[in-house]
Amino acid sequence: MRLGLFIPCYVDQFYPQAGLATLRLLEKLGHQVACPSAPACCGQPLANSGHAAEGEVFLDDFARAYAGFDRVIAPSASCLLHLKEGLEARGHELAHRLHELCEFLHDVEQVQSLDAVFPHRVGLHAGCHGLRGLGLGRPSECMVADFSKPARLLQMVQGLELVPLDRPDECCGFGGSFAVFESDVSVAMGRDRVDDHVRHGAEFITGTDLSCLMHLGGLLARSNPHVKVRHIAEILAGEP
Amino acid sequence: MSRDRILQAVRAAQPEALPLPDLAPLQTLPKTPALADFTATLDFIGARWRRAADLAEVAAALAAERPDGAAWASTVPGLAGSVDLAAIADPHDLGDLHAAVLPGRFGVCENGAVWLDETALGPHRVLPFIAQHLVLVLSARELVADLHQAYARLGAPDTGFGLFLAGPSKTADIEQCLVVGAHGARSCTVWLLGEPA
Amino acid sequence: MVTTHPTAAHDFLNDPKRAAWHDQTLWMVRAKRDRMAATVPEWEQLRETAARIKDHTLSRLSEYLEQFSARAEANGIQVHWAADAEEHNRIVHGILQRHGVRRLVKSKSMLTEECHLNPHLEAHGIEVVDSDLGERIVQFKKEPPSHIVMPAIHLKRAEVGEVFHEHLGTPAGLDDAQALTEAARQHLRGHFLGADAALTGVNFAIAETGGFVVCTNEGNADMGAHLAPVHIACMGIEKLIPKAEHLGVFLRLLARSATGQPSTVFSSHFLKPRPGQEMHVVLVDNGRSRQLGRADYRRSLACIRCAACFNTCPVYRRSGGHSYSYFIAGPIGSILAPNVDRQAHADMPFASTLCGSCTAVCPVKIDIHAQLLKWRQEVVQAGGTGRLKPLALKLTGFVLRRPRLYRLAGRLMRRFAPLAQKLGLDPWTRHRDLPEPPARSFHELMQQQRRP
Repeated sequence: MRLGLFIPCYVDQFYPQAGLATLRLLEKLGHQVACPSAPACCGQPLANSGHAAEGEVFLDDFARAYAGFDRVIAPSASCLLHLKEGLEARGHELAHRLHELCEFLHDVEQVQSLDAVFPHRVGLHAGCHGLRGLGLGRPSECMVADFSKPARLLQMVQGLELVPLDRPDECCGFGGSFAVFESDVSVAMGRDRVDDHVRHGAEFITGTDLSCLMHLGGLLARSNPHVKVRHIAEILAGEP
Repeated sequence: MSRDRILQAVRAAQPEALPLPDLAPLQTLPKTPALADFTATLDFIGARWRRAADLAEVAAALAAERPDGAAWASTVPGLAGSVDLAAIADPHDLGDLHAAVLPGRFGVCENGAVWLDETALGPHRVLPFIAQHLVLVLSARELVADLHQAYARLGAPDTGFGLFLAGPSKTADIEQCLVVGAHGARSCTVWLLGEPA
Repeated sequence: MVTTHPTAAHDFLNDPKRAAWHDQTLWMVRAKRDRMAATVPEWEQLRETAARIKDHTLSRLSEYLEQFSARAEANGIQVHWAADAEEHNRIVHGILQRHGVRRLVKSKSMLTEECHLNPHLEAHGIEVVDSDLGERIVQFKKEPPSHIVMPAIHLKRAEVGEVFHEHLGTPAGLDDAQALTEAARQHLRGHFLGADAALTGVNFAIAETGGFVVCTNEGNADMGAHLAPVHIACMGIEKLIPKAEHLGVFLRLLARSATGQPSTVFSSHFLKPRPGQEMHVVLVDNGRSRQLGRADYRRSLACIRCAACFNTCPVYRRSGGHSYSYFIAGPIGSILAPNVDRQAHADMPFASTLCGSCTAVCPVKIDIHAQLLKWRQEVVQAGGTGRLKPLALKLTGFVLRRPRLYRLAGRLMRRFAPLAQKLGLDPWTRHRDLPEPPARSFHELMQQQRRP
């Protein structure tokens, strides 16, 4: 399968190691992976701030750059959801070939085992857009059978212990420009999430979105510097 | 006239008609009412419940437990209270009522509610609200599993007022602390007569 | 950007202990809702059915309104129609005036809050007593409710004690919920017995029967309605459902979603006035037909006012009801308010992270977070966010679309991130570190490794 890898702008700039881990994971599965460098942003920051019209061009850019791939993978549920919804609204068939990384591993590849070791206590932050938008797991509001694709994958990692949480899927408060324009609430929400993970003995907080993790990691650095954030791709790829 | 203006505005705004969903899948779920479910729900909502073979047993228990001189009213046929409701013209005069004993038509297992229609309330609709304590008398055979079955049983309403009553009045408006006895009854006891179906 | 919500939230969070309590208490209600919903295996089927009944009803609302009013009148209920808040208030006052009413007891009605009925009647010399305990507390305090189901949830017991000490003469320092509730019970009993008229809200009005249902736990609506010689029930036109059997669906959802109870204590079905009593229903539009015509926002009219979206909303829990500029706070308020006044409530659609919990919890499946996002577009188009924010976003958008400019900006950003960190002047770095900037971006590393 020819896969296109979409690395969102802030991952590109601040978390290249997560991009590399995603790449390695996909290549290990025997895929040919390419990463066009032209589009960098999905346009979500604009849309969420009320400038969806101006953000439309990013969808055009994206569709043009990635149309030729069998499937497109992104290690970011939030950006991917935005692209998917945008393309779906336009009736663009590419929408159905977009996958968040865990979803791809779980649903398309149906991975049953991983060559990865991570002997740590890990808290899984269920990012809202992955959880409720892409359906990566059962949102706690929904009265259906419980499941979590990211958690299932993490359970394949040797030595990794998932910590339970009091509020398994409360929003961390990042919310894009919300983190800046509503920074007080954003920070209060983030601290509560951090406390939940720390209280349950997490050494690492992981998740499908570095946007949430950037926010949580930024708070951890000040309150609990011994606890770190790691993108799920790094853990699944067996990075130390 | 506002009526026509509103209706016209609504007519202009409403979308093309969408279908009304069929309730049959919910109404025909295989659920059987069970006395144990009903009483468990009554426990959960803070209502008391007791079993009795017949009305005479209820009457004896009420007579034994009633505080001296307390005014109580009954609309249960064959069970007389100390207050003659028919003789009271103004419901405001019920302000000092200690207890009201009312016949429930049926109970709903899923939520502990008992249906009372106007005939069960006697001449004063306010009766189950104004009394300090409430006693409901219900045949243990008269149970439905859920509200779908309840409304199927009720059919078209035939009295001017009716209610589902589920336990004593309560509030949690102060710091979410549950307090029983808000404006209505401070206690609600459900007497279940006879053997379940 | 109108900064009312962020500013008010800042003040709310300045008292961290109280803020934590507020969050925890409402989360507990959400948890109770979860436990209660989990006892109903067909919960999701119920939600779906409820949503489709509401959609159907809204699509034929004019017919159902006609049917309802005809049946209600046949039942002996007097039906009134109010195009807006002013007409609603005029109608209610007219009824009261005809009966020479001096004292009105009123159970919870968000509609009368929306119409500012109390000040209107008080200006005409009528005493209005809100009889729901929480509403009575905030009425004493001259505050709006901070939550549509738990109006006084922003107050602590001791504060309620102070209010009751001042207004009801309870002993100073009394802060026992049981004792305070008892004091309110005695106080309000007097009002129930002395009222000349009672006003209630309406949870559901049934087109088929011309009757309506009012749900309370306290029994206050019934205490008022069955004692007073005049009962006025005020309802928005969206409260209709087609048939009595549909109550089975909605009543199963309402209390479980609202407070985690299997049922409200009293679900009262009013069909006809009692002998000698006058019963009125006031049907109010006040912007609802306008919202009905807006396809994107139409489903907001399906709301049954359970407030589950309040309790689940992480922003509401940490900012409190009074941080929102509309009397209905929280997620649902934030999609209703812009329909009323887009300019005045421009900040409300932004008081959300769009986490979607509101949509997932809603018993009638309103796509609340999607509507919030749509309102944001309209607010911006109307210039409601000021000039600075759009400009900054446009600039960012401009840079992000130009690969060379983007790479340059990225390098600069990584270079200067530590400085920004040190200065801590912006809203991000004031409380949070920035990630350690890597020497090279992902794409730079890829290029180094000869990759496309």
